[in-house]
Amino acid sequence: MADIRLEKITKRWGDVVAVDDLDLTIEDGSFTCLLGPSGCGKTTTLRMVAGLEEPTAGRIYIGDKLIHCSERGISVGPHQRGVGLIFQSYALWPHMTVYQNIAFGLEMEKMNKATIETRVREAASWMQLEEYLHRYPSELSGGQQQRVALARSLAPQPDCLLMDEPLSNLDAKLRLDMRTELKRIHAMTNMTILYVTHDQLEAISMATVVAVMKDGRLQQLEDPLKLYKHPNNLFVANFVGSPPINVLHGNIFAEQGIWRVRTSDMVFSLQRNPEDDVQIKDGQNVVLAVRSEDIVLDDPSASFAMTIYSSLPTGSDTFVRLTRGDLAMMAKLYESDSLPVDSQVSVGFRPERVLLFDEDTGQRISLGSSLVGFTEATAS
Amino acid sequence: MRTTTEQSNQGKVPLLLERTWNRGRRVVANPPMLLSILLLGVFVYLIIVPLISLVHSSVTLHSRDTLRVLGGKVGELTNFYFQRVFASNISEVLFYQPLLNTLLISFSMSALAISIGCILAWVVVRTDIPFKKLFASAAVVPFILPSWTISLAWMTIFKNRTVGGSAGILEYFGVQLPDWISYGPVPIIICMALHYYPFTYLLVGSALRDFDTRLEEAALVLGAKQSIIFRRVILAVVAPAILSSFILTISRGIGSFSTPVFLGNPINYRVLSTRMYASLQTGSPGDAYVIAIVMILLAILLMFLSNKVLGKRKSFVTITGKAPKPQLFKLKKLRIPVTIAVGLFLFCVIVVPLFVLAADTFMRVPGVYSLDNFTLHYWIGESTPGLVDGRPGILRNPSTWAALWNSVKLGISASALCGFFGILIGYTVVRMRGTRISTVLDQLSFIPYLIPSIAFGAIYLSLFAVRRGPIPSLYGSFLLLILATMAKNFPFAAKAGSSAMMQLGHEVEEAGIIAGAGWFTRMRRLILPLQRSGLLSAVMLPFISAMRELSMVVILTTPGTQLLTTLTFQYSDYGFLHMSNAVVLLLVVIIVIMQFILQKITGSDLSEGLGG
Repeated sequence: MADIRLEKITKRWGDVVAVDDLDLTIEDGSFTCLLGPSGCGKTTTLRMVAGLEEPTAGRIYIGDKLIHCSERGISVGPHQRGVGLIFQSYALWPHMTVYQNIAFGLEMEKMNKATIETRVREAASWMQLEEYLHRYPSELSGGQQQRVALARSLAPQPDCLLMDEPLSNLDAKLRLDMRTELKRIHAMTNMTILYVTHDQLEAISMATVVAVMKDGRLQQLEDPLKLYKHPNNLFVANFVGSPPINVLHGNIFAEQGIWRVRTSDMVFSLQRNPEDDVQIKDGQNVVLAVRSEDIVLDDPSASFAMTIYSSLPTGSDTFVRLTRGDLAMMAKLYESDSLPVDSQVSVGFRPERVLLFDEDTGQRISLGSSLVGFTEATAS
Repeated sequence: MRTTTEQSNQGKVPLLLERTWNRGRRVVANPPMLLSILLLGVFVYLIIVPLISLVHSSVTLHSRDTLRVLGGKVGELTNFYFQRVFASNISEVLFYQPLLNTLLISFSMSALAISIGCILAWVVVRTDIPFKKLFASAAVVPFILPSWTISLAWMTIFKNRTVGGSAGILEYFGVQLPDWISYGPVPIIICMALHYYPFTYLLVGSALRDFDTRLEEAALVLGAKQSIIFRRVILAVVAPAILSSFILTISRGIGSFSTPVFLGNPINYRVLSTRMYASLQTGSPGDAYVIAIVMILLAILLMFLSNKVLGKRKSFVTITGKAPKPQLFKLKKLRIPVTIAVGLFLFCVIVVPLFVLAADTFMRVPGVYSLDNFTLHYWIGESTPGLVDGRPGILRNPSTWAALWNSVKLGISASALCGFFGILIGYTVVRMRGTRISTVLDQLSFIPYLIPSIAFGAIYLSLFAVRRGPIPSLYGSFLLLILATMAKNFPFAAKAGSSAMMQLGHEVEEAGIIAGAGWFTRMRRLILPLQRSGLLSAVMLPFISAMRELSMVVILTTPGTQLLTTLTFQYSDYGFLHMSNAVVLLLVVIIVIMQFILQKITGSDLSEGLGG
């Protein structure tokens, strides 16, 4: 077992910077998800750890072993890194049976036939593939192919398992099954897993740690549940969560010792969480962000009027699109209800859940600021 | 312990050394990198050096011309040949008239070929004509046959007595034929068009097939008339395909040799290729090399124009999604007449020529078509004095078997090498993608495509006719034929190889890298087994083209390295048309069988999906 450390890793292709000065430690035994939109450098990062791509600068360690150092020109071959890799396309060898696919890596390690047989059967039994050992990949379903890919990576018993969007080719139901499966594998083997995905739900539901990336830079390294509630910046707040977080643009001013945020036609009073130490100043442009489930309809306190644009009941809950002038928000109600279009409702926020970001830098200013009051702004 | 990096490195110089050493070792151990360097060497030797040699030969004095140039010495730089070809009292005969003839023939032939191809493609793909499958596969047959099959058949039917020898079938039946039907531009244009129309048929046919009929339906729903839909929707979408088939056809036309040589030479009607061949035969290689350079420049100009004109519109067809089955145009009352017309056309360009050639080989005295003149002599007859100079029938003739064996040997060795290089080129180009060397390799492998076959032959002749430094004279050797055939087929092999690699993707190999398999193991156990069909088309296409290639090898073969194709050419040169026809038929049988095998094994079909 081993941790993976990336120190000042940069990857450039000509003028394009795919990964930009990335420092990241993947703890031993963790299930770390690299999460981000396409082109954020997450797959490149994974491939650099695997040794399929060479960083332009920086160092990578697996455990105590230096496996890459651009400065000294060191780069250990992929198979000496002790990693297993699962590809998005599975990359099963179509001309080999399931057995041969799983056995290939063991053969390369020059194991004897009997050991190979034992190991293959063992890996196959973890993945419930015993009865398919003599089939060819094309004779298997997508889910079974995925299991073969897993068994093939697990058979050589790597220290770390790297996975590149392994579930994106499966249908929704199988994907759910495989998530539970992967989480069990992690719990059983306690292997270090580095998992690349663009699906925030997948990351949050499986990972022990989520690393959000954007434009080749690490945005936040966080426990998945905290990530949802305490995003470091507007990008993370937006990327994590579905539907996307609702935002209100405004600026800050102080009035009678109380910080207030003025949006186009409303004023919110703000009480900062005492733990927040980011400076705010008068006139600063900010973004108020609130998740759809933190919007309360027919709220008696600190509420303002909005119009129901349309409502989408899903059976278990309802998404409601609300408008007020140029402002549009999506609220989530925990009951199924079809609300009449164009009717007025009073809307409030769960006060301790409102997030405040600097509009220019996108950085979080305040965490769980409570919204103590609201007034219609006077036209001035 | 975790800061191992900083420990051993104090000074900057050791660090730099260590980095260079470590990186260098990895580059050297990187197979794609090594392969690119190796392939670059092969390309330079087989493509670039010959090209340079061609230019060089065209500006150096050859031994037999030393007397014509005042104080000239062999090997001296001279503009003698350029001057003679472009600006002398024989330029008219040597260059300008052949150039005009070439242009006339190429343009008219392309226009005719494209008209035939478009009409046929539309009828087969978009109408409710019956026997679609049959018509679709039959329509490409003329291109599979050796290009001079139709010319030989034409001669057999339309020959007149102008140039002596026996009469054609029509004259036998008492029809007097003017020269312009028997020889010269008109028959050349027709015969070439009938050989090259399948280009248009295939390209336009697939554009029509991929054509999303919803585009048409959208216009229909918006109230457009049929004529407007045809002009502004269908024609507009198919236009790039028509244009690219025009360029393809015309560039083949410029380099074409066999048809003009059979139908033009008897009345001294010369095009660039036959003029060049004549210059070589009469011992003026310098002139021939200058003409070859002009032909190459013409081909490059055309390619340049096509890129300019087509630009990004090259792939214009289909956005996404599966188009519904096209609405077939209902021919209604015309269905039967159109079916008969198409059937008759294909009958005339496929069955009639082959039948005529076959019939001719069974006539003892040429041009006398009666039953008592029937003979199997030209096939299996023993040597008889007075008949074709006492040569035995082709199946008994050792020179046929020697030529057949040479053709097969050439086909097998050139195509095996092509397959080998095709896979390596494909692998290297795809693996090194994004690097300059990959682009260079890709472009180099394409160059032979730009060069007309006969000019390609001239290039090789210029390089290997004499010993040059470490490169021995290969003229007259079989190896020269193999090298030229292989290099000429590089573009197809490379294309097949790289598209197969692209399809395979990089993950299949990377999975092997992760598993710890070395490069040779990966190639042997993971990549090659998955390249079987790519390998096969990289091998079979060169094989078939080697079997029917005439214009390139005609200037490289010697009596010792006679091939089936050059044998037919030689027989017809001697005036032994029956022998020539019989050998062509033998060749046709072999090629059709090979083509059939190729299609069966790869499951691909030239006419795939058209119609049916």
